[in-house]
Amino acid sequence: MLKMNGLSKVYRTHLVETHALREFSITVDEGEFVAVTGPSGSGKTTFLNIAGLLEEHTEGSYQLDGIELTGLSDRKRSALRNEKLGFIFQGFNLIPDLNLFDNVDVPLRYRGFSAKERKQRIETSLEQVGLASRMKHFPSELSGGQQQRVAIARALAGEPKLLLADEPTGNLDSNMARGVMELLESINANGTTIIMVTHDPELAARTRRNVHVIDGQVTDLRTVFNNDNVERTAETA
Amino acid sequence: MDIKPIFKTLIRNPVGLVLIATQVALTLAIIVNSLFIINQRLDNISVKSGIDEDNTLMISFSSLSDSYNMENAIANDLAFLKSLPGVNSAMATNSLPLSNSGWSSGVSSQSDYKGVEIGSAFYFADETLVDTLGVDLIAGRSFRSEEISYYYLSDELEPPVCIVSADLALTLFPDLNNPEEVVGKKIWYGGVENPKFAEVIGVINDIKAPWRGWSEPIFNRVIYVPHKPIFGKFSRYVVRAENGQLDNLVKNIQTELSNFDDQRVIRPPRPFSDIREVFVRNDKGMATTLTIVIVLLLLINALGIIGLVSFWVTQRTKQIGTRRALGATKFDILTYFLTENLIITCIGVIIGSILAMALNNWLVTAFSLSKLPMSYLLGSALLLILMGMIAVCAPAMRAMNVQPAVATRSV
Ligand SMILES: Nc1ncnc2c1ncn2[C@@H]1O[C@H](COP(=O)(O)OP(=O)(O)OP(=O)(O)O)[C@@H](O)[C@H]1O
Ligand SMILES: [Mg+2]
Repeated sequence: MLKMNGLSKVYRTHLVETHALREFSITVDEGEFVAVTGPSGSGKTTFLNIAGLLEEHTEGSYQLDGIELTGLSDRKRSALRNEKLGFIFQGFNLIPDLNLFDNVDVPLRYRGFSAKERKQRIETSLEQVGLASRMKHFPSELSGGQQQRVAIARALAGEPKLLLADEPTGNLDSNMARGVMELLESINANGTTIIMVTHDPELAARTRRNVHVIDGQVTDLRTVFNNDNVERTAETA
Repeated sequence: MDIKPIFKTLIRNPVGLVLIATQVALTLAIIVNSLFIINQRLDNISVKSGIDEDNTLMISFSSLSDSYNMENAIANDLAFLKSLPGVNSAMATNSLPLSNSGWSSGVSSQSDYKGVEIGSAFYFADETLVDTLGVDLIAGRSFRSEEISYYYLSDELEPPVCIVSADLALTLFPDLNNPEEVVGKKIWYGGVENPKFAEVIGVINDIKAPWRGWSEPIFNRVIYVPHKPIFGKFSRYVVRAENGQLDNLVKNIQTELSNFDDQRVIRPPRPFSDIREVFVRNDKGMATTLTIVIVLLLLINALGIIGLVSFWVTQRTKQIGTRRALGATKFDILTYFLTENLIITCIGVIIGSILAMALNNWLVTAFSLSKLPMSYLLGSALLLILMGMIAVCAPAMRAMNVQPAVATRSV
């Protein structure tokens, strides 16, 4: 599904160079649910952004669903984001002036679906997250957890192969966080690959595979480690 | 393009929409009417006097003593002027087209003034009329030298013959369609108590009166009478120069005439360009002022759009990043802002068109301006829409270049 090899990302400003990722290699198979953990500033978001084609990497190779992504045009990358990827953000990133229906509609319009198909997909995905009855509501009229569910519905409506989530529960209390996590698990159970960055060890422990990022490099922790060990690795780093 | 969601967003945040649409509407209303007025003024400015403007000058003199023989002086001066190198022709007259001063009187096609009395300008001319002014005689003939007499201010004006402008001819004799047929007709003047007539011997095309006339359209109605005027100790000549000789003549003619006869005061000559300049001064001023107003309004309008859209782009940076993350291309973002701006400008243009017509209606009744042609409205609307599109380009391109990573990076 996703294959990064010897990838590096360097941020250059006129003063400093930040090596956000170096010699970063990882393979994620179809159907996996990967939790990415690591200290602040270690490069988790950078990894997710590159995986999600929001940023370009500096060196190395990256293949997504069999497509080599180095040197693609912006238009092509936009189309891939639209068709193959779904995003869930910490801050939900709903458009405040559009109701739920129109929010979920945003990526579908870029896809060029017919009005009929869009309507059907919007209704199905809002149903899936349990908010079909509030289609005409605006984001400000929902709780945080509900807003994140709408964002998930928006990510799902295009039937992506890979769902990318950067701290999807970071702004939610533990109750709502659990609800969102359960939703993600059911999505994964339906076959969608998920990569989720999280600071919450409890959530990370629920996934089958944990990836630990330290100082721009990846330490893959398959399920051999239990929760405590993950914590320890992070501390010793 | 996806107009519906953009429109919904605008409706939910109507402040910017109302602000810019109002600005566009007011700008349009003012610009349309200003353009219309400018165009009328430009028409005024480019008016043709009907004489050979490029080669014509006017010069006046006053004698110093009461015993001075004006008739001799005029006869000698004209002979002298015609003998000067660079002079094509010269005659004595009272006034020229566009000069803002002259004579006018009511005339009629009937002795009892039944029918209509038409206001007309009166000019004095001699047998050199066609040569001296370069007017376009389209029917009949010019004056003969034996028809010319001196005219003193104390005299009754009693010309036996006259030459009229085609416009006056056809106004007096609306049944005739050919100026040729007016030749030989009688024109009555002098009022009901003391009616006198002059026989029309010629018709001139497109000659203008000294002034435009407010209540009645005197501007195209002109009568030439066969006299050399003597206004007390004062008279004036119109001189037509050979092609290219006018500047020279303007420089020397005052000295030449003074040297020829030093018993009078010769005034500085006025080339016709001076006369025209004074005549169109107000129109020019108005056209210039309104042009500046239009340019300023368009600029303010553009700045308003740039300001608001720039603010929106900054405010929506995260939203733009999110849209990019969800699959929007740069082009999608660009068209979003162009479309949004187009919607706002179009709403403004529609309201503005209604305002413009209302404003024009008021101007029509209050200042008797003419009705606004639709083409002005369409032209101004297009101009505003175009300006809006140009103005929105800079902020829209900034929006287009917002990085998709903003979706995850900004708070
Ligand atoms: N646009 C940028 N320009 C320069 N440096 C950047 C930029 N974005 C990220 N960095 C740097 O790259 C490194 C990795 O950042 P990243 O956001 O990936 O960390 P993170 O693991 O997501 O941290 P956190 O858990 O706090 O979200 C950091 O040192 C950060 O300062
Ligand atoms: Mg991060």
